[in-house]
Amino acid sequence: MNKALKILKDNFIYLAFIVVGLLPVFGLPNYQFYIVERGMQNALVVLSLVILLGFTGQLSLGHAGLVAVGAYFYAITVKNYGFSPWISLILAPVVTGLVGMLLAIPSFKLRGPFLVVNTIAFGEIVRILILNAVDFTGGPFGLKGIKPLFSGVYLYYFMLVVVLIFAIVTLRINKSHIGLAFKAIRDDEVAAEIIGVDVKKYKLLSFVISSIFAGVSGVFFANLTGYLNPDSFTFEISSTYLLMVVMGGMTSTTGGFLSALLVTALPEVLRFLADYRMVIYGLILLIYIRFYKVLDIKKIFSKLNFKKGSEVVE
Amino acid sequence: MSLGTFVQLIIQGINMGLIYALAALAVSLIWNASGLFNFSQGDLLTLGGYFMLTFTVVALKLPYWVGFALAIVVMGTMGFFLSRSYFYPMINQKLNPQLILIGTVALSVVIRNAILNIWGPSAQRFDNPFGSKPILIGDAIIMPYQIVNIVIVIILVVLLQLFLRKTVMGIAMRAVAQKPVVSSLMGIKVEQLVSYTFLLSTCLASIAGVLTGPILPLIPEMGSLLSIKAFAAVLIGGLGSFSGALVGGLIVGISEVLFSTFITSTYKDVFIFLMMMIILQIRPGGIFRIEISEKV
Amino acid sequence: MKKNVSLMLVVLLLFVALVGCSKETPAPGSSGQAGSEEKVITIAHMVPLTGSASSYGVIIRNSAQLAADEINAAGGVTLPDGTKAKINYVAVDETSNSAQAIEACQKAISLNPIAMLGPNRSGGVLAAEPLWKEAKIPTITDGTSAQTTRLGNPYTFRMQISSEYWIPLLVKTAIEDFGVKRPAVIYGLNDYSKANWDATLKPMQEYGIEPVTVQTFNDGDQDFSAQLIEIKNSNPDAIFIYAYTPEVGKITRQRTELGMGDIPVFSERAATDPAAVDLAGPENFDGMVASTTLSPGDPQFADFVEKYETTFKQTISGSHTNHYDSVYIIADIVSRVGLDREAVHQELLKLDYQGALGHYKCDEEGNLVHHMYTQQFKDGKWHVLRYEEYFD
Repeated sequence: MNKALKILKDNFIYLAFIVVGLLPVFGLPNYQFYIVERGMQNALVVLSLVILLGFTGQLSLGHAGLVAVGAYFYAITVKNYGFSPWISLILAPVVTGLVGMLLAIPSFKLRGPFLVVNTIAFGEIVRILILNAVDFTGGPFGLKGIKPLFSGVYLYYFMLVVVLIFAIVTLRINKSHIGLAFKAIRDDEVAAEIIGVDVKKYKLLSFVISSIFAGVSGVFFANLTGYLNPDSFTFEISSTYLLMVVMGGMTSTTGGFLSALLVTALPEVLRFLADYRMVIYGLILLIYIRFYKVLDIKKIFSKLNFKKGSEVVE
Repeated sequence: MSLGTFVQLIIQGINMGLIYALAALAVSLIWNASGLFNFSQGDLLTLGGYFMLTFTVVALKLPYWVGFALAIVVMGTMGFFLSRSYFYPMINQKLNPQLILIGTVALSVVIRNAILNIWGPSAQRFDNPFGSKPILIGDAIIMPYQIVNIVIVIILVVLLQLFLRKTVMGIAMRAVAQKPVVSSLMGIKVEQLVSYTFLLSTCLASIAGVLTGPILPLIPEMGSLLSIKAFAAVLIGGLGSFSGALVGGLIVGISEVLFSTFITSTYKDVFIFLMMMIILQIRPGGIFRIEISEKV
Repeated sequence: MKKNVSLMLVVLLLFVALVGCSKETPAPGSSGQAGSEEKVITIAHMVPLTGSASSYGVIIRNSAQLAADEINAAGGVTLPDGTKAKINYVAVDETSNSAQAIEACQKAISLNPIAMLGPNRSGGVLAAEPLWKEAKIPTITDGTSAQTTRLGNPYTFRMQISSEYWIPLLVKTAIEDFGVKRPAVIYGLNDYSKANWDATLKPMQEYGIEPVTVQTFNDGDQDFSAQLIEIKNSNPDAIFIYAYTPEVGKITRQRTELGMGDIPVFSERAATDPAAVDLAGPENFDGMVASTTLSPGDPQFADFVEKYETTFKQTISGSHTNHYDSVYIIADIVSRVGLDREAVHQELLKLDYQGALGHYKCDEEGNLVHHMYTQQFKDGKWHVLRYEEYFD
């Protein structure tokens, strides 16, 4: 019995993916379908933060800006310059990764709240620039009529596969020497430097990888909504991503994926609470964080990354 | 542009700057006492403003100063209990500081949305008794509240300095900030002090909230808008430094207005943020970078 | 071990449950005969109950709700086959955010309505209109940017005046009735305000007048001293304000603080929201001229205004009540053609209806409203200045 449970635990993430994959088969009305797709899109951002925050300990409240870069790059190149959506799909994360480097550089000298506020500033700058480049981005009128890669069910499964691939990548990073370096930085930057970890290089790498994930998420956002507006990429959205990561246990890939789905679908659950849902949601989080240590939640979720024979440096 | 108009703009900048400075001070106080960066400071400020609204306009219709005092008392009490029941236990448990920080983000979400639910989404305002007729000094048009605000903050700053340097509790607060272990060995109850610091910080935030009354309309989102600039102010000036908070706030407030007038208003926030980012790269701790001995 | 796995399973099952459960909700069918005893006319309304447009979003919702309640209290709508149906009015929050409008629209469509109302902002309309086109649901929208009805979507209707019409009337009022020669303009960088500015320049130029300065501000800005000082320096004799309610209020107030209290202000929809008066301060707001679709100053609406204000205990806003008639229009059509969405759509296309608040006629773009006022706020009340109708 225990062995079966262990197998289930180690591979839970795949079970989750299968379940999500089967949902359309059992019939999912339009609205819920859209919600699950948005959940998957959010999951990519959450994974990006698992890597940046969970593994490397760098807190970003500006990730909405990175998602915006990916989304707008895809939309503008496809719509105004006639790029093939597939080319844009590949290029957008690359561009976002490059932009992510800009975010990484201040992180070399800054820690704690200094770094966080820096990321907030970054996110706001991106949003304001997009808002004002009216000719390019449509500014406050937004950008509409974005051609998606696929439509309907095909988009759903495409996203599922892509998110699965990125989730596997995250799991791999967790177990790799890169992951080890990340965690060393997270746990004690000075000590990491002393034992020979090139802190700058790995911080940069972490930011870039995280940005790439966010860029792909942006492309999906553009595909799902067919319409972009700067008011979808605000500081509040960045805070929501952060809260999702925390709910998932910060370092857990599976937790992150589930948390993204759950939190995205939460408005549906709390529909009867309608007006009060955000307060309830915030309160749930406050309580969750307050009793984090007591319930040892971190340990629970971090164990999800525990594969046979591997070591997780916590 | 005439000298008078220029002076007018500067006074405007000082007004907003002092509000940022109060919020920055509130952040620095808590940071010193507990190592916590309070992301919900802007929303606490907004909440102070809304309580003022309720006390003077919506429900109780009390006179301005009474409502003001009441708002401060209510907010201070709230801050005290927040620390007591929520933040201090987590700090004591030695919970990952990032997690506690995220806790303040969650708190900010709760406050903002609670305001939305209780007071509604429409913009509101409360009046001040300082008169609505502008004072004309040469070319400059000054509103009475602008003068009053500046005076209030100056008095407040002086009182705070006196408190921190001359009173037992104030000195104890500074001791706890600088050397928590020694302080507790000397018999100072650290937990109480931290909670009193939270109380003080929330009071400052609520004062700032009331002072924004004539300047900004009260909307639930006001917290987020102000927070970011207040954070820029506190980091530019130096996190944990009293003078840093003041200087940082004034720098942000004044440059905001100047940039807006002389260059362009559209990108003024971008300018402030870039300025902050550059200053942080050159001097990562801020202008009045805190060495341990200089803490508030 | 067991605890971990069961926690994860719980989370997963919870997710599946809430996603799956929602489809169990009996959809109040537009055909209404889904086994329930009572027939139902579902009207889904995408309205901004939170966010920057929320202060008048509530008024919009209340107006429509009032109509639905009145009709139901009178026994409901009599269908062609003699049976009665009640109106099921559902408001869905579109949060004043354009991308959220898409989600709200999805939600609204899932309720299987016979027709939809809203969204309020032009950005929201632009974002969501492919959805109701695909679902073939006639939707009566609010946005005032001209382009929203020019997208080739036969299911889009509009219960507002396009800025292309009422801005010129505003300009005409300013120039002909107030002798304005040196107007200054300030507008916010959002879809709504920018569209209003876009509609302003041409009519001004037709009078041979150019604005002496054009200032902009970012959404969410609350300090306009820089812009107002520029405006003051350009020596205008009028200020045109295009913004959302909080900003209209603040700008109107701040202009006085900066010594321009005697310069008249001109604005439109957002200024007719009573919150604007509060925020500006009645002394500063006095003299404001705004364009609107319904003027509380017009005596023929006195009854409606009183009815609204007593029921909801709030002051009415002239530009945000049209959906009261939208609900009546839908009810009237259904009473003639029954619960058939496509038939309702066809009827809307040929609409020629006298409602409580005006006469509605559908033109080839789907615009239903063709009348407008300019009004002036004096001594605490709105007074009608001009009234115009246009029918192509």
